[in-house]
Amino acid sequence: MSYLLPENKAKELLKSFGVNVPHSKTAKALEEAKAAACEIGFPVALKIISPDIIHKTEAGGVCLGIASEEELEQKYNELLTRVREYKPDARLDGVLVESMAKPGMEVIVGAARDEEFGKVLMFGIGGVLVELLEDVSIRVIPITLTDAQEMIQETKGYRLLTGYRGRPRVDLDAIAKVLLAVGGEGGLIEQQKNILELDINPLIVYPDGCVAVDARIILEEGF
Amino acid sequence: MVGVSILEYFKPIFYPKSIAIIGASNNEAKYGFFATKYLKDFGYEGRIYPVTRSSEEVYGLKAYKSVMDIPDEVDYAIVVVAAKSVPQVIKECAAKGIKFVNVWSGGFSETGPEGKKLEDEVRDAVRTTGIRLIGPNCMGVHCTSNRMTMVPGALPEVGGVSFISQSGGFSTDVIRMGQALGLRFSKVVSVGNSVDLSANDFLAYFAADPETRIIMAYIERLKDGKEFVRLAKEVSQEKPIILLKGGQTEAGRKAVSSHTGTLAGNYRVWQGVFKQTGIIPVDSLEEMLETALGFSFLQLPQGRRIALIGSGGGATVTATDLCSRYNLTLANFNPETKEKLKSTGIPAWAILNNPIDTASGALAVDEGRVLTNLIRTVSSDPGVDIILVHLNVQNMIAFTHVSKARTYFQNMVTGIIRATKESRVPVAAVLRRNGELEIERICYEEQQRCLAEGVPVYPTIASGVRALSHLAAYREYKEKLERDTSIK
Repeated sequence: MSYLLPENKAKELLKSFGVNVPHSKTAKALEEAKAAACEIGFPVALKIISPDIIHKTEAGGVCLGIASEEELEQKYNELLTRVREYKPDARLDGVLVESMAKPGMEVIVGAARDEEFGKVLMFGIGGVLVELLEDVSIRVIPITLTDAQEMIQETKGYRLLTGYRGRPRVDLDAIAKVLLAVGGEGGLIEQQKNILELDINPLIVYPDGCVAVDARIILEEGF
Repeated sequence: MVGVSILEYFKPIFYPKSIAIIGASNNEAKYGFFATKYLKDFGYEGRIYPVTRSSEEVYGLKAYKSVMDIPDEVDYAIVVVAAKSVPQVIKECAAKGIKFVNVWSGGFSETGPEGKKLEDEVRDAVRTTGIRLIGPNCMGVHCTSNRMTMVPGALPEVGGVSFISQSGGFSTDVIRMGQALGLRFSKVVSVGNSVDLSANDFLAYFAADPETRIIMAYIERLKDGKEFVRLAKEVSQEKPIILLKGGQTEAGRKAVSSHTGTLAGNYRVWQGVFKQTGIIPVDSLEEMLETALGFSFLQLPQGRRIALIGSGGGATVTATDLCSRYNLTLANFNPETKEKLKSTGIPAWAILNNPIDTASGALAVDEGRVLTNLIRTVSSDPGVDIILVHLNVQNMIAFTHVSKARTYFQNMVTGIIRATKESRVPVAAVLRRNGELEIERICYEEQQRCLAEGVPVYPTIASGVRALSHLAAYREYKEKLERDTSIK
């Protein structure tokens, strides 16, 4: 069957393929978490690390925008209490302390398997409307740089990325680089053959660069 | 295929020296009869060996009880026996030394679990014997230059269009409909359930085949989509691939699962594949053929700027709308062109701008020379990439000089042909019909004259505009590839 790669591992994997991820550290106890947060710099996000919890937010295992050590202590304890209530027998491997990304344009980069074509790459404009509007573009992996550029350009939301109504124009090259890192020749999906599904949602894009704020990688068992 | 080129390897399918027809029949309602008759009637010059237990002779050819009794080497066999006998027949063909079998018989995975079992037996027979198989559940192979066919009425002139079909019916429709439109074929193959050889194999073959210039395909579901994408990307650089995807909608997909026993792929992925490979997607058999007609007759346009020449206010306005829908832009004539248009001989009231709308009668005078002048003038404008001339035939017959109407229409077509021969840009014609027998007949005659002179003729403005738009898109794809390679 399949299983979810822990988020910190998923991000390490993305990072090793050149995708920018938030600065983060794992911590097994409160003091460790505090030290990590001080090193990373506030504000930070806290996320539970557990192989038994697939939907972290649903389990109350995510806390965003923590501004100080005091707040961290409080939120850390609350988070653990919520998670234990949600699933008392869940194995808890600690927390991920992560630098909070600045707001920007949210897009999605994903990969999945198509019965007919094998591994395919998806790009879409992020946010709550993505599933409703289905404003996505798809290519069969591996893609070329031109494919990556066209994937971005053919979404209806492309105008949002290029300075719509006074918004800043975001770094389209940075998005194309992520698309290639994941779905290009010799990219993550080609190298790691046991990846069934991948979601970078959101990838936050700025006028200069982008960052993979959340990443889910589902692996095929038995590889 | 090790050590042999694909052209050489597949030669016995399209250029066999001898063909066995297993299940041949004198019953005029059976495929075993059609297969023999159409092959012989088309003038196949190799040896045909009907195989049947029930007759000494089929369609005037000596018949054999078993493929083993044929006193000659056999390259290729058509199999039209009942499904349950197919596995055994395949083994016999292999024992006879036949390299390729084309199994027309239906009754396999498309019919349910029983048929699926039988199909597995066929697959086993192929694996254990090493014979190669096209089908089952298909309609055979057509190769004009070797006078092989599975339809009556196939034309002997060899052309550059080849077709891969996952529907047997479409493979025969396409030959007859395509010919009537003006296409001339090189090869057609229907792949059926693709137990062994599949669409990918024939795509690779047609890519290598020097006779094939344009590839059309009807695909419901691919066995190896990833390899298809890799191949199609390569092939599109040299030859256009025009593809009709069956099962694009949910309803269509249901029809697919009962049709071939497989589920259709995700159409959104297909849309990505079209962009990624340069494949030209079409929505109907008609659009596929009309697009191939454009590729067959015309050079690729340099851009998307179109000039419209025709008569009728409504027709001109809707033609303009259609251009916009299919992403063709109306060319802006330069001042020199506008000046020259005044001296072409068209009436002073005519609109001498794009789209040109003028009285039909005027276009016909002086043996169509006014129309010739118009096309010449427009085609020399550097801002024009494509010209579409649209004529309303009913209107011309009704409202030009009554007793000379037929001649007038002929003159106009002559006018188009004359200008097209030296035109810098591709010119297509629309002869608008109205469904009346007399008008249809006149259109048909003039269409044949155009085709003989290299002018493609479309039945409607919409179909013409759509085809030209596909040509422009393919040119853009090729330009994009050149840019990409120059960056590397």
